[in-house]
Amino acid sequence: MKVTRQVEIRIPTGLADTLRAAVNAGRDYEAAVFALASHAQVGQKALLLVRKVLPLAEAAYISTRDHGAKWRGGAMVPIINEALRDNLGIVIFHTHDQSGAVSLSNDDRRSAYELLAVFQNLIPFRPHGSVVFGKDHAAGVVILPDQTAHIEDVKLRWITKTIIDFDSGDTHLSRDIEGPKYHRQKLLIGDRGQRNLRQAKVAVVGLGGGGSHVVQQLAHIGVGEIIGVDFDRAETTNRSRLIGIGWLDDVFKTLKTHIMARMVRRINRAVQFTKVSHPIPDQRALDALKRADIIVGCLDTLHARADLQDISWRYLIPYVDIGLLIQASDAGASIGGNVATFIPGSFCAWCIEFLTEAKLLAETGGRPRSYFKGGSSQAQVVSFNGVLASQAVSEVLQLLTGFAPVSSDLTIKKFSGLDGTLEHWAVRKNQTCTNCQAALSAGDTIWHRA
Amino acid sequence: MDNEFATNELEGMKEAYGEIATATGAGGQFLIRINQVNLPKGCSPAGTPVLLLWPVGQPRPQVSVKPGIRLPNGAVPRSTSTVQLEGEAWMQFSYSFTWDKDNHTLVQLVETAIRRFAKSE
Repeated sequence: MKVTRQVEIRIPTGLADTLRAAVNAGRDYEAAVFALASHAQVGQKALLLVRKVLPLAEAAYISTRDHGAKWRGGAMVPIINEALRDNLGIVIFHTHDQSGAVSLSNDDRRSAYELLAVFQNLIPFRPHGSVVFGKDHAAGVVILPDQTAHIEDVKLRWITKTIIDFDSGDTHLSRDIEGPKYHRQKLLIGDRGQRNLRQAKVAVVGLGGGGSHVVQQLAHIGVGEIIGVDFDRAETTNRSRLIGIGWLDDVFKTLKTHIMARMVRRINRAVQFTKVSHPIPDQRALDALKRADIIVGCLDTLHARADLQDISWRYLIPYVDIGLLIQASDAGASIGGNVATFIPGSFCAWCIEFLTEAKLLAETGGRPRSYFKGGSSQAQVVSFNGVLASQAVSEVLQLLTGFAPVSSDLTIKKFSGLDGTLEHWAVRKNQTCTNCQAALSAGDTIWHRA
Repeated sequence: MDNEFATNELEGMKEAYGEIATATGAGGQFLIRINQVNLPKGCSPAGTPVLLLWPVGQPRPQVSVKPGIRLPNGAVPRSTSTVQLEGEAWMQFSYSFTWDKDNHTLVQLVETAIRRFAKSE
């Protein structure tokens, strides 16, 4: 059994905005906001995945001369009932409106220990916590299921169009140990952006014409770990578009993960490439994806995309999808594609009918599904793959470094190969989307022994 | 699935299989996980965890086993597919037989489905 040493609390977009507004609502008091969360285990790290944000009503607060918040115990009854009904843990948030390191005060800590013990007694199979956050730092305490010790290594991540990680201690940017390697790049993204890249794990699923371009560029920009997922081997038909393929790779049918590992090693020794030579949804591939900060899908089949969409929403991992369709006939050619970034809590692939049950059924014709085999006879040209892959890497760069101003517009990017354009295409979140309601922050399944 | 039916069935399943766990899926579906069900003689491995996933409003649950099973003749079962259910990989397979909760037990459902699975050459 793995010992949990660290906790990361993730909040999906939408709820992050609600939380920020709610903690700042108190004019004369420190507002406390309750969140209900599922959880998941990733190695030695526990993820707390926020599903609901529940502010206290103003009437619940008791006036106090102290700085901190006090509220009537009865005000928590509906929150606890909702947590019990939905089988979720309870996290209390409040804010200290300051830059730099923050910490729980002695009062905060004392009341947190008391409340968390009550929550654990009522809902023993979920973690519970208390967190304070400032402008850029957070601190907190979490108690995990079946444990008595509290964990204080608590990180906070807001999943928005840029991933916002709150520092959890008195951290400083380390001195530049990488020399001039990223000098020109850092003129855009800064030292902090480069640090974010170095600490990031990006999974690339599908290592063909699109995915190999993505891996190559992620290695160049200095992502800390690339998790490459593909069970396929090189063939002669891959020579025209598989970046990194070497002579004899098609003869020896080298695994594409091996080709990518070799390419990354040649480009940048500071980047770790993890080979996952299994298809989605093999358990080893699913476990590898859970570790990722971002998933880039470069796939041929809708079924595999549906799996990535589910993992993305379930564990709050942004998912960048690229797809290219070239149709050539005597009447002429059409070359189209998409780059879609799905931010958990915003629109999903089901919301915009990129995925529908009818499309999934049509893909297999009702037969058992097979992965990475769809579209194998369609036209493919490396230059068009490259455009989409480059944009996907720019989306990763935005998620990790926030180099560009963020717009509130909801769009995906449509590619026209004939016009040479990549245009914004307005989409919207479907408020009644059953996938969003069910899968968002679902976390691991919690089993109860019968 | 009503609570009385579930309670009665879980007792019967514990008697038949030993360790049983239950959960509620992300979409509200009822899940039952059997730690180990013996496969017909010659299959490899000799047993498998089984998942019963009972979607809301459906008359019967879907039965899935863990991927990687080989039949007595060494072949991989046909008409199967590995799917992701509640974040975990399971193998679904096709079967067709009559089962309704008023006349049959979940143990009968599992045993019949597993026999069909082992014949899917």
